[in-house]
Amino acid sequence: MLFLGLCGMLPPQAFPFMACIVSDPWEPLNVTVLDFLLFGSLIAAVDPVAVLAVFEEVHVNEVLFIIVFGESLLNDAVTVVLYKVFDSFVGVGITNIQNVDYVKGIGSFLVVALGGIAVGVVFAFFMSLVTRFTKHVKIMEPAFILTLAYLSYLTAEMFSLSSILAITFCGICCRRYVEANVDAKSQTTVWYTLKLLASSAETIIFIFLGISAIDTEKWTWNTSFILLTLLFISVFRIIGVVLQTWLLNIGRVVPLNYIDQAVMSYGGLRGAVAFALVALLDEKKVPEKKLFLSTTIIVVFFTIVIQGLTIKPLVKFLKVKLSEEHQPTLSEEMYLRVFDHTLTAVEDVVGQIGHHYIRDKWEYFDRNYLSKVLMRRMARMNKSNLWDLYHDLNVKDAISFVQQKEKSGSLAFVHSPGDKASNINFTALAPSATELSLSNMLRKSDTNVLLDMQAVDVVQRCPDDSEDIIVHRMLSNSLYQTHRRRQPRYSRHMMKNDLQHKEEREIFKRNMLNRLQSFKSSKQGKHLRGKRRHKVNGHPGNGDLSNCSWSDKYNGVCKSDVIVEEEDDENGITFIAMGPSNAHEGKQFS
Amino acid sequence: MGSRASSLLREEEIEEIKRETGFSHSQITRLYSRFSSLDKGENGHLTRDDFQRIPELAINPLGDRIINAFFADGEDQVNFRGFMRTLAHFLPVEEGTRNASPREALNSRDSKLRFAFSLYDLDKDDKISREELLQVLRMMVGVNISDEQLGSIADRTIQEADQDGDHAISFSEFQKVLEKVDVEQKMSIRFLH
Repeated sequence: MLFLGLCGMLPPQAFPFMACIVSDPWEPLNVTVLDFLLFGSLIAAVDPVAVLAVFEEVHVNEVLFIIVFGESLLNDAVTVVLYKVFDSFVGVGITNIQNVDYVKGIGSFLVVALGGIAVGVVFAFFMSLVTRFTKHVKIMEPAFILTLAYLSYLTAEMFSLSSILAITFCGICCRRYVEANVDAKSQTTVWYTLKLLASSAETIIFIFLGISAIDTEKWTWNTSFILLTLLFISVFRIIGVVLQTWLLNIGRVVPLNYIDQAVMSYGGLRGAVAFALVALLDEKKVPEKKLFLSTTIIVVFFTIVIQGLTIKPLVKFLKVKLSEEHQPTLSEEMYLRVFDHTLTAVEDVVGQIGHHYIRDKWEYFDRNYLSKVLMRRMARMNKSNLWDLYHDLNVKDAISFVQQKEKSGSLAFVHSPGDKASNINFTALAPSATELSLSNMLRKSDTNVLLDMQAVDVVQRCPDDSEDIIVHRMLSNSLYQTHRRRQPRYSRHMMKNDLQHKEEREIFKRNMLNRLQSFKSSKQGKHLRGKRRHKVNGHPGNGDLSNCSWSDKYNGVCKSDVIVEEEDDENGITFIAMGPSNAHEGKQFS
Repeated sequence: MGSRASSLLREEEIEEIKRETGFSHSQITRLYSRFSSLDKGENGHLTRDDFQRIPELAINPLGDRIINAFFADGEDQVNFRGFMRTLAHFLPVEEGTRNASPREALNSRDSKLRFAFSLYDLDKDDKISREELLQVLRMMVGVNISDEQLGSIADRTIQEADQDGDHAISFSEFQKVLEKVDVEQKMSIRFLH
C-alpha cells in the first residue's frame, strides 16, 4: 500500500513555479527571471504541517492521504535544494551562469535527498539495535527513541542534507523493529509525547506567522502580482497533478480517477516553510523582497484558511471514498494473506518482477538477516500476525464479556466438573445477523463459562492439569462452610433444615464416632498395628472405598488427626468401620 | 526462440484467446514465449514438474496449491489455452470488458473469488470444511503455533463466517466475509504489454 503511494509522490514542483516566469510585471518591478524562479520554488512547496492538520480531520481514504502527505514530506528536499540553487544563481547574476552550474544544481538535489535518506536509515538501524538490548532498562526506552530521532535530524542539518527526509525515513524504517522490541507502555509514552510536541510546535509556528503578518512595515502591496500569483499557483498545480497522474496510472492496478485528482490539487496547502524561506531572502540580492514577503503571507493565509476550510465540504460533495475504520476480522486477515501469496506465485509463474515479487524478496531478506540482528529473540518468535490478531480479538472479547457480566450483577465463573474443557459451545448457538461477536454468544450462553479464553487452550494442552483443576474446583465446592458464631434465628419453633444444619449434623456424627473409636482402641492396645496398612489402601473388598478416590485422602486426613491425638497406632478395624459411613456421607453432599 | 514461438501460435488462436480471456495481442505473445520457456519438454504442454522448476514457487507457502489450480481435474498437463484461462483470473477488472458480458468474464469479481475459493476447497464439495481450513492455516503459519492454537483460530474463523450453522464455509458465506475487501485490487496483477 505504502509502496503504491510512494510511487505517487513525484513532487510536481516544476510546473507551478514556472507560472511566475510567465507573469509579466504590469507595474515596473525590479525583478528578473531568476528572482521569479526563486520565488516560484518556495511558493510551490506543499507544507506537511498544514496538510496533516487538514487531512487528518477529513479522513479521506489512505491512498489519497499517503499521496498528498508523502508529497509534502518529500518535497522538502526539492524545495530547499532549489531554493539554495536559485539563491546562489541570483547572487552570481544571470549572465555568469555556466552550464556546469545547472548540472551541479541537479546533482546537489540528488545528494541532498539521498544523503538525508541515508542518514535517516543509519539512525533507524542504530535505534533498532539499541532497543534490542533495553529489556532491563525499560524506563529509558522512550528517551532513547526520542533522542536518537532528533539526533538524526541534527546530523542531517549539520551536513546540509535534508533533515526532514532524514527524520521521516528514520521513523519509517525503525518502526517495525522498535515496535517489536519495546514495551507497550514505552510505545504509548513516545506516541503521546510526540503528539504533544507536534501540536505545540504547529501552534507556535502559526502564531508566529500571524504576528509577523501584522507588521506592516515589512509589506509592499501589489494587487495584480498577488492576484496573479494566487491564480497561477492553483492553475499550474492542477496541470501538474493531472500530468503526473496520467504518468502514474500506466503502472497502477487501480487508477486514480478525476475525483482523486481534484482532491490532490485542492489539498496542496502552503504553510510555514514557504514563509520561513521568504523571510530568509537577502534584500541585497533580491530587491523586491518585501513584495515577495507580503505575497507569500497572503498566499499562505489564502490556502490555509479558504482551502483548508472548504476541503471538507468538497470531499463530501465529491463523495470521495473515506477511510473505513473497521476491525479486520480473522477471516479477512487470513484471506488477504492467501491473496498475497497467490499473487506472488502468479507473478513468479508469469516471470514478472512486480510489486509482490519485490516485497517478497524484501520480506525474505528481512526475516533471515535483518530481524536477527535488530529484534529481540522473543519478539522474533511471536511474529505471526494471524496469531496476534486472534489474541487481540480474544482479549477484547474477554474484556467486554467481563464488563457485561459486571453490569448484570453476577460473576458466574464456575467451571463445573464433568464438562468438557472447551465450554464455549460454538455449535449450539446460531449467531444473530446483527452482531457476530464472540462476546455476544457468550452472553447468551450465560452458563458455566471459563473467563479466560486462553485457559481453554491451556486446559486442552495439558490433560493432567485439567484433572487438577477439576479436583480443586470440586474441593472448593464441597468444603464445609465455617461455623458462624451468631446465627440469626428467626423462629424458635421451626428448625430450619438448611445446608449448614445438615453439615453440622454430619460433622457432629463423625466427631463422636472418632472419639468413640479412639477410646476403644486405646483399650485394645497396640498389637493390631500391622493390619492398618492393608486396610487403608482402598482394599477392593470394600467397594465403596475404592470408588471414591478423594475419600482416601479424607481417610488419610482423619488418620493423621487421630494419630496426633493418640500418639500410638490405630488398628485396622477402626478404619474399616469409618470407611463405609464416610463414603455414605460423602455421597450425601457430593 | 522468437521465431519458433510465433510460428507455433497461429493468428486464429490468438484471436480466440483474446476473445475468451481479454488479454491483448502483445500480452498473449509475451505470455506464449514465457510458456515456451517453461516448457522444457517442448511438446506444447506443461506438466507439474515444469512449474516446480520455478525456484520461487518452492518458497511460497501456497505454491503447490497454485500449481494445482492450473491443471483441470484429473489432468496432468496443461496446454497454452488452459494456462491463459487460469491467468485471466488475474487481469485487472477494467481490462476485461472486451468480453461479451462483464459479469461472466474470467476476471470478474465473482470469478476471482471462485478461484480463491477453489484454492481452499480441495475436494470440490463447494464448502470449506474445518480440516481444509486447518491445512491452509498450517501452511501459512510458522512453526511457533501449536496445533491446538491453530484449531482455535480455525474454529473462530468458521464461527465468524458461518451463518447456516453447518461448521463449514460455503461460497456465499465466503463472499459475504470479503464484501468489505477490495478484491478487484487484491487479486489483480498488471500484465506487461
